[in-house]
Amino acid sequence: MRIAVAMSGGVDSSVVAKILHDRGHDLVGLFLKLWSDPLSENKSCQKENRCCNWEALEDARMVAAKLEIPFYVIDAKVEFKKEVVDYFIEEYKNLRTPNPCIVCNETIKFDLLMKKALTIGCERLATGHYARISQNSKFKKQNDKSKIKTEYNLLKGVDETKDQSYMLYRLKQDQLSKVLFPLGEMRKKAVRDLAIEYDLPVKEKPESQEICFFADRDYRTFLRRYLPENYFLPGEIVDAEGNIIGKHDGLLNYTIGQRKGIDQNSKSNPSRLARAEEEIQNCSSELINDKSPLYVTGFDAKKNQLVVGFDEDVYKKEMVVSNLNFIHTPYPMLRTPDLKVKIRYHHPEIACKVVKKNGELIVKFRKPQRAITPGQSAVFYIGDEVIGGGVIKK
Amino acid sequence: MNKIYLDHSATTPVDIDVMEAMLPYFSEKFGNASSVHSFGQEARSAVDNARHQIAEFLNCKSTEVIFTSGGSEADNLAIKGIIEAFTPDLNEITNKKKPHLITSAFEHHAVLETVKELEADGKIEATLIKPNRDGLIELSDIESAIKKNTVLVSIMYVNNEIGTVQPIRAIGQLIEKINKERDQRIFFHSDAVQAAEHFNMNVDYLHVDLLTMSAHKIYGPKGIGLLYIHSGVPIKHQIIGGGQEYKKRAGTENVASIVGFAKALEILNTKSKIIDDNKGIEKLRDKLIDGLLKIPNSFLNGSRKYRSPANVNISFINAEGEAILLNLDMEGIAASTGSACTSGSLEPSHVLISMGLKPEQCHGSIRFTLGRKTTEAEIDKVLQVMPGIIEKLRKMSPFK
Repeated sequence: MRIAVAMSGGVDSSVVAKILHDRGHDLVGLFLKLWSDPLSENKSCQKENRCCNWEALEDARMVAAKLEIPFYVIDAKVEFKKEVVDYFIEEYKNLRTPNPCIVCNETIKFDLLMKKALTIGCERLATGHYARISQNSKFKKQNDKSKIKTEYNLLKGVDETKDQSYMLYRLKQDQLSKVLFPLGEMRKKAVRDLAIEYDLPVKEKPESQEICFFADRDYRTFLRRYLPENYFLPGEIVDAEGNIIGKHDGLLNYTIGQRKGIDQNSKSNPSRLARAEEEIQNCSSELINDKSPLYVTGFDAKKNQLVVGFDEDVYKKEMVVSNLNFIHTPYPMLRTPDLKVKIRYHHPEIACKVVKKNGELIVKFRKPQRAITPGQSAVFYIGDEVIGGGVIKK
Repeated sequence: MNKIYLDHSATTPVDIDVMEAMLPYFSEKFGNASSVHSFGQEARSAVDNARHQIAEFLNCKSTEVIFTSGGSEADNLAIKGIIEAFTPDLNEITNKKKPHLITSAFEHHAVLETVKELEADGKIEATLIKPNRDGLIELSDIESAIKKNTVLVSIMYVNNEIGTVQPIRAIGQLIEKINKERDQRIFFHSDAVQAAEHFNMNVDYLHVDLLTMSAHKIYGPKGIGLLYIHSGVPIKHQIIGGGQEYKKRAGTENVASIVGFAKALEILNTKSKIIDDNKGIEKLRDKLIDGLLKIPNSFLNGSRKYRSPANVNISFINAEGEAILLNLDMEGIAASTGSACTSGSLEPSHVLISMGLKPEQCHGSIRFTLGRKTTEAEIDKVLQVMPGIIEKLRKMSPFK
């Protein structure tokens, strides 16, 4: 079978290529060239998109050459900018916190790249994601055994610490039917050991985890170049009742649940922005309330106000999730008592109940949850299986 | 799988005789041509002989041949060299106006990007002439673009993507005529990298002042090219160092490659004397064009009449050139979607756009360039697999 391998030049995808090659498949290596911020390149940081800079390209090409498989660079700069980067900027414009990797998986890796793979005669696309796919066959109609329908399930990777199923919940059945995740059954350590055993040119490469399309240390530095000035204007900090209790230095410097710092004496200083997060961690002395610390609970974009409250105000009993995708549709198992939800990547799952309303889901937690962040994805699980999910609306 | 190479405009294999001529100059006759001793003299004599041979091929003087690292460097030297040599004088003649340069919109990037950068840096004024729908530059367009401060016209001899042959001799004669009636002389450069294999390279006949050539397109080694600079044409060197290449291009002579370059031209010369080689390759080209045009919704890019005998460039509506290329590669057939430098990008070809094609018409173009060893069986194989590839891709097309 001819299989396309998405090769990033990293350890994981390189090991995938080697494993499938050893199984005797007819492999084609595909490398995605993605958009990276030209403005950050022009400044001090001469870096291309971290996942697809020249170094990554050469690493991937060296692995392909070692395995003697054809290797092609697929230029997806335009599409990536439109689908992923513009979405990223737009979400922050609306003071929401985006998940660019989820959108990239949905629109670039498992759509554009998949289509490319199919046009060159590949039947499957393999990637280095830590997740599993299983399949079961059903009869389409109870009495008609001739029509068998195969359904695909998305499961967590065996290595819980590396599990990436959260990032994949937007995949559709036709995508899942053509995807291979050979690392889903493996632990990261074993993958690394294999890379060493195979003596792959990339065996010692560190992992990349940050957002790939800008080289700035902080996403706010990136946003400053792409959002109008007014997103960074200082404004008032208010409590839940609207009482003004201080000044903030631009709403985009804060996220829900963040313990905020208030500089009561000075006006906002732009050079501080990049360091804002750090400062917030260290600002216990600057608290307005001398007893309990304050946390960001919301934004009022119209008034450019930052809403704060006490720790208990950050906890919510429910949330609304929209822009839904389910691995199997319709999915009746949302009513199961075992249903759990992940409200962000690397977050423990929480038991919950779900009610459907107007094409959205109202999710009630068994215990109140801290820092429900609009724009992040909520992904539902039963055991190891991904049921589906959506984007947190409020 | 027997592989089929139909990308000779990207590069050609080094002729075995060329390689053998080069071999002694790596470990045995390894001297530096600038050294005084016998080792140096041995290398110097090899470079002298090669330069002499090449000058004969071009019908010029030895001192008019400047070796470079390849075609791109020669193009850079021609354009920047003229502009920089001229800027101070010109200021007096044209009341401190920037020098003006005329080129075509479908030049190789080595010319086009150089011109664009000079323009962006505020050093020149540039006019980019668009070819007509047949991929040919019209003489009248050049004539009407000429200004008082024009110092350089640079037009390629054979277009690398669509293989159309430009009227270099006529342009050269036109400029010569115009020069008689003006103070500020206009110099004429032609990038002839794609032309050497099949066309007249006599610089006298062509009426060019500067001409770019590259060895690896004519079965010579990569990394060696030349710029012909007519005596008296002012050129500011771009690489500074020792006084090599008549102080026009510093750097220790690449002796083995220079020897290989000369040998490649010698072979090219005898080849065309023995048989009328263009005729044979032209027959194969025509078979390929006619066969591919039988696939519905396809058209040939560039004039069929004024065309390199080695070039086939066809567009298929509703199929992506990149996908065609990859599918052919899977069948062991090497082709190209444009120049090798831009393949792999979805940007529509600047050559096809300049001819007035719409971007969606450019995406489905594929280039085959034939070579000395291309056989009819290879052409037949391409014609056998292409209909199926196009049909498959059209079924999956995102353009529908």
